[in-house]
Amino acid sequence: MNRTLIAAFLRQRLTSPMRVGLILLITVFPLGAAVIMNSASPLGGMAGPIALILAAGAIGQDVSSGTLQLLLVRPVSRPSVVVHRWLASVIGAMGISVGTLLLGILALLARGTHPDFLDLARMVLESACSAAGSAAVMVMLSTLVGGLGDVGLLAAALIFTQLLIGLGTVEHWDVLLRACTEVQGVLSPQLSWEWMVHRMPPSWFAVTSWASTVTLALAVGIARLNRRELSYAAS
Amino acid sequence: MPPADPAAPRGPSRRDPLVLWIVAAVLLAARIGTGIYEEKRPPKLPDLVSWEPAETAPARAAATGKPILYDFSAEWCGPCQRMQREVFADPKLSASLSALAVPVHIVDRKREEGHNSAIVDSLQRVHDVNAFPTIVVVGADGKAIDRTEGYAGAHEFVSWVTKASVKTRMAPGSPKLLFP
Repeated sequence: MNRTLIAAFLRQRLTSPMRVGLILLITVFPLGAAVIMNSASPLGGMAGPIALILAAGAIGQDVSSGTLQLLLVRPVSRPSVVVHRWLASVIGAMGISVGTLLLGILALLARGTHPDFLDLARMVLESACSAAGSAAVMVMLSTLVGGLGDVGLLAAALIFTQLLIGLGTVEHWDVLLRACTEVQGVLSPQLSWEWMVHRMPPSWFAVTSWASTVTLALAVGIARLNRRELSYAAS
Repeated sequence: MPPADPAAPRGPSRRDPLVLWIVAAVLLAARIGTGIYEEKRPPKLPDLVSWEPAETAPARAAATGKPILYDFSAEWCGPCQRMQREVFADPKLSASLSALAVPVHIVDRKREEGHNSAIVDSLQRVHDVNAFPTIVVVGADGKAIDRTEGYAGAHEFVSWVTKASVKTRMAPGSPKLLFP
């Protein structure tokens, strides 16, 4: 593992005022809600959006600015750049969301509420899966378009599939509904760990769906970057 | 600078992730396989709600002073399965549901068996059920107090049931409800 690549990427992301502002918005409101509601449940589900913010433009922005061309002058392989940027986004998102969760737990303990340990474990595992999934998809999209075009691509795909879901619901087109639900699942991969709390077997379809989305997104991202012409002459 | 020769052999800096492709392909095949399997045999989810049979529900509602909550669903309905997983399998939410109303589960079998039982047909006609899930809260007098179609989330659902139960309590002539 190349720690320098991870540290450099995280430093770059966490010194961007816009990203830090968005992350603050995402963490402060659930923290406040958890204190008001006296429950840890609002603190789940932050890791995915944070990973998305950190991974947005992970490759595309550096290609557009010419930074990636300079980075690749060093003995760093293209697959390594993709994997380490994905890993850095996951580590960053998990660090921030687990930190916020701990703050929330401390606030709840101070108010005399003791959150369920199994429920907290579920929230951490779901956060890790959500962060890994969202970051993988974002890094893949980032290899397809320059700058922050990946954000637009993701938003357009989500809006389009949502419109099709609406149409499928009105017209009772089950196949279209199923297809769009699958596409949305691919665009924002999540894995529920509810089964652990209820002590029942997991849905293997959900597990393989999440794992295949993450691996496919990384493989496509690497393959796309490998085939991309990055010399200054190309631009 | 001349453009790069696309036929030139790639150096180690552009190595294709062969292992990752294999793992992704295996997982994709497993995804399709488990998807087909679970479509035919959906995993059994625990149901912690104490459902009342439709025939005895009015008597039970009269005895307890609670409204009847009809949950119209179907096995093939995705949102119904989500509701099952998130509400009916949750110990706290299912307990609050049973405490607020007399829950009755009505499953449509038209797609599987071609027809429904007489009581299912009659309840669907009376409550004008055209989509699944449809939830109807019925007061002690047998009149529908509130209804909702679709599933927006566990907390939204329980909050809606709570509000509908309060409406039932406020309805003129309704017996005093035994809220927990």
